[in-house]
Amino acid sequence: MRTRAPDTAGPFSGRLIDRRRPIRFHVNGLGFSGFVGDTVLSALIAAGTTGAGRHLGHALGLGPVFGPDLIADGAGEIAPLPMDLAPAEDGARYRTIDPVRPGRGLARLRNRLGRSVPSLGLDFDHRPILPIAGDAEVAGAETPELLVVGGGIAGLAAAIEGAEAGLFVVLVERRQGLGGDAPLFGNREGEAPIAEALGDLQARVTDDPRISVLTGCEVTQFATGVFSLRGAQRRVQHLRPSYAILATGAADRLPVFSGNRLPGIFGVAEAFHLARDFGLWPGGDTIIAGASNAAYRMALLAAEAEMPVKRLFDARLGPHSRFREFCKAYGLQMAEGTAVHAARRLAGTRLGLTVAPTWTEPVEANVPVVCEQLITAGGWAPRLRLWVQAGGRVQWQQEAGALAASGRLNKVALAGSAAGFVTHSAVIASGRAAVARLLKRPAHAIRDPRLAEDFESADAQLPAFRSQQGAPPAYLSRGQSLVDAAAATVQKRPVLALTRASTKTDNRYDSAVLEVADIEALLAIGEIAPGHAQTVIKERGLPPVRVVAHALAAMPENAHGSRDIPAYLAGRFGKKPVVCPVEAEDRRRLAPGLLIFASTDESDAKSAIGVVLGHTGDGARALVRRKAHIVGGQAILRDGGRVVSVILGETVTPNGDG
Amino acid sequence: MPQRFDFAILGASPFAALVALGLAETGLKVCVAGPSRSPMQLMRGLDVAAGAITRPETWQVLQASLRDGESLISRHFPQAVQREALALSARSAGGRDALGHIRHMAGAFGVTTEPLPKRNGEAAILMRGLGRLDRRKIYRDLPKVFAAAGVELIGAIPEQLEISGGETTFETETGPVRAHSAVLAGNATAPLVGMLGLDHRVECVETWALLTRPAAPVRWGCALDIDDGASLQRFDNGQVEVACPGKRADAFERLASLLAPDGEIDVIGMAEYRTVRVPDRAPLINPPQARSPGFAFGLEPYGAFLAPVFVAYLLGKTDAGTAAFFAGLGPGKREGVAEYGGNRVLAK
Repeated sequence: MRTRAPDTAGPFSGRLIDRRRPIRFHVNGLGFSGFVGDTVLSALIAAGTTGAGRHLGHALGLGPVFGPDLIADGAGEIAPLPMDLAPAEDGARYRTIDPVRPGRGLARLRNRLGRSVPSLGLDFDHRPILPIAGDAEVAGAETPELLVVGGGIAGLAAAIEGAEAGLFVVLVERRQGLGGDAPLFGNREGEAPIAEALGDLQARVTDDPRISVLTGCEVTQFATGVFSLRGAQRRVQHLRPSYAILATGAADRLPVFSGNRLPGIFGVAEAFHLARDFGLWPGGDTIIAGASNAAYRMALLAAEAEMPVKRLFDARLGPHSRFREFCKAYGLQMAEGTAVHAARRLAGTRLGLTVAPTWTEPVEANVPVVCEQLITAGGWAPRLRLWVQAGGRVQWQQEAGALAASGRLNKVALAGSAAGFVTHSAVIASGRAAVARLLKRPAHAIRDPRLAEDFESADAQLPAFRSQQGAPPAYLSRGQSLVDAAAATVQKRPVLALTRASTKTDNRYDSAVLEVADIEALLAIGEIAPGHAQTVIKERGLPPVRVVAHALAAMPENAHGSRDIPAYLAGRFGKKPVVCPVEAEDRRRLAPGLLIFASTDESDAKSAIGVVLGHTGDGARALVRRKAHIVGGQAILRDGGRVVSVILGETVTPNGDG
Repeated sequence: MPQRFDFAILGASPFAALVALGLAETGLKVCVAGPSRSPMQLMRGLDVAAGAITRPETWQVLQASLRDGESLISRHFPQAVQREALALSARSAGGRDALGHIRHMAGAFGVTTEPLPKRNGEAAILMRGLGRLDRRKIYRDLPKVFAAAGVELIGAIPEQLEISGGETTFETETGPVRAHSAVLAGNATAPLVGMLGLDHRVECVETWALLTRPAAPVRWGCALDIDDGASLQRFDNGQVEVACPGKRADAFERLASLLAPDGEIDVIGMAEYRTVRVPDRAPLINPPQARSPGFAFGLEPYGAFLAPVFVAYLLGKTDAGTAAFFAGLGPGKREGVAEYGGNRVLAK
């Protein structure tokens, strides 16, 4: 199977790799080859390894949003990196943090025979979680004046605005190159070509000495004013900026259907960047499916690169846009009102898709649509993880099927698609305006005209198709959390014809770390009520923190000893009870709290005449009702089911003096 | 025109919900104002049919209420009560002594207890066979149950209440509400405590709850530290939630202390909230008055099981002994009502 497009493939020629400089490296002992400029992930996919391993008994695909963490052998105590952030280095030996499943020999044989998808064979049912950096490391945080998270056009514009205002700026981009998703979306009618604007922004950022750019670097979390980063330098960095712009863009939503994360299934943004940056097109027969206009744009770019797209399924009825018209002109086979309801693996690297009208159940007789690569375009949702961690509020937008930011923060601002802007000009302007607002400078109003519905159909939400028993999971997001939507509601099939099918709630999904995208999907499928969105995301949308066992320090011994009368005994034995020694006739040690009764006839706790307070150096003391106290008198208590006679001594003052 | 109700219950705890349901069962028109909770949130509290109770009067009322309490819960939330052992622990000298008093008092009321081996200076006792409420099931079913019982869920806790002519009026998202009687129940009403003039009787305390991945290594399924009030509960799916008054670090430390030696666990959820704490650790209860709403604070962790008898008290239908018990828990003189509340002593 050819997975690397030729270097003549126009937009998909692989702008970041140097095909003249091959490299070779190992992951978990398996050899792979690639080119200088590849990440470990891109080289793996180029080698046809699109499987990461198995989860819940089914294969799980590799992708830029799901690149398992790895470390290089001999690298010492360095932080692991996800394989899409780790540059592939010639001669390096990497190993994954996730364990390899046992019995890989047979699987490798099946791979070689072409009977299954080449896979790293990792076990995702027993995932280790890495500890989050502690406070000690945070103490060494660097302090740029402005941190810009996201190297798309909004982030670039924000960095330029910050530098122009005299600030020292650090711009962090997760991908290996700058520009973000803007080139995927293309230009709106009447907008300047994005390539020109992007080229200009990139040149200005590169030339400005006040701006430092970190590509291939991920901001993992924001807490107490400190951003934690990890990147190709293989170390965790901490930045405590004066101001921060979150130009984190919009995430490509994962359509929810059974098998939505099988090997060979990529999101449209993932597929675009793999093709554009690394020349990857993993699958001869490609199908694009979704409810977003980006699907048509992707099909056009593929056509331009001479990479075949077999069919395009649009879940919307009567979609229209100029990109769709161009696709028609290219002769692309398109179907509207249809969606992928489920996917399963066929022999070799092929996928079998159950495709049916969007709003109906597929019929059994449906012949699966076969492909090698499925690109999904499930619409877009602002990436708000860091915004939420910074204390920003969110609101569920039912119509858009996404969370949107609301309100403002003092030192942190959103820009670009993360802030809900759509057109390129508005996205760029929002980057500049966000910086101006943080610096309390005047900013121009931002115009973000939406195209009329007559001119271009809006992106739509795809309905969720949960998986049935035995079918591959329907995941809620592409991330690390691996939350299975079907676990939310499990249909119990009847065992006998006489028994009824039942539905029970399974809380497997509730035991997982929830990413913002998971919570968004749970909102979309009705598992979380919209009114709970803010609190659930605040409480559950956090990175995990590892806690290691240790003993609590002992509490200091206080003055409260057995001669004191605790507050909870006040009034129990009259207004002026006495404290006196108490001794069991059989000399046993009397435990605090034992109730003392006048005789064996009494057993009701409320009729007790006293209680053992505790021990001093010279024996046990009791608190006794004054009227019932007879020096040398006998009383009884019940200890371990036995009646024990006790003798009460002379009254002592509360401080112990006789 | 404001919506009119016989009773408005302000609160988000299972206790508040069960009081509302108990009142509604008598034919009264009841509304509840309180933040509804998703089962995916943190539960922020433990409901179990015991606690750090040292007074025979409290045990007596609780024991008398248990059957009705579990019956009320089961009628509305089938399978929400399960049997559980509660571990009570203490690290201070006073706390260790108090455990003895709790243990022997519980034993006198038929609750089986046993001492647990000391660990790192921490003493503990185990109470077996107690009813424990699954808050996730309660919150999952609450809207449905309220709708079926005719209890109206009217949104968040109001910012203020107006009381005139013996009636309580407040604003909600859906408009004004007027109730013949209003009762503030539990921690969610902390913002309203100021208007009750109870500053000398209660303190609002910062509290943190932590939720973990499913884990086996915690020592107990349900635990309460009587010194600092930290609680732990393990859910059906193995997740563990710890709630601890104090700073966030205190909650992490408490969680770490509950793990088996060499154990480790991942925290996957976190919530900060305020709890209303009564310094003498006895409940603080008052029925609605002409110029003040009723209130019930400090009933954790056993409040849910006391709901039927509290409803009867609100309606003036309890026996004289129970009425006297509740009357003694009012904000006036509170002599002889204290439960174990840390290292408080009367005299030396």
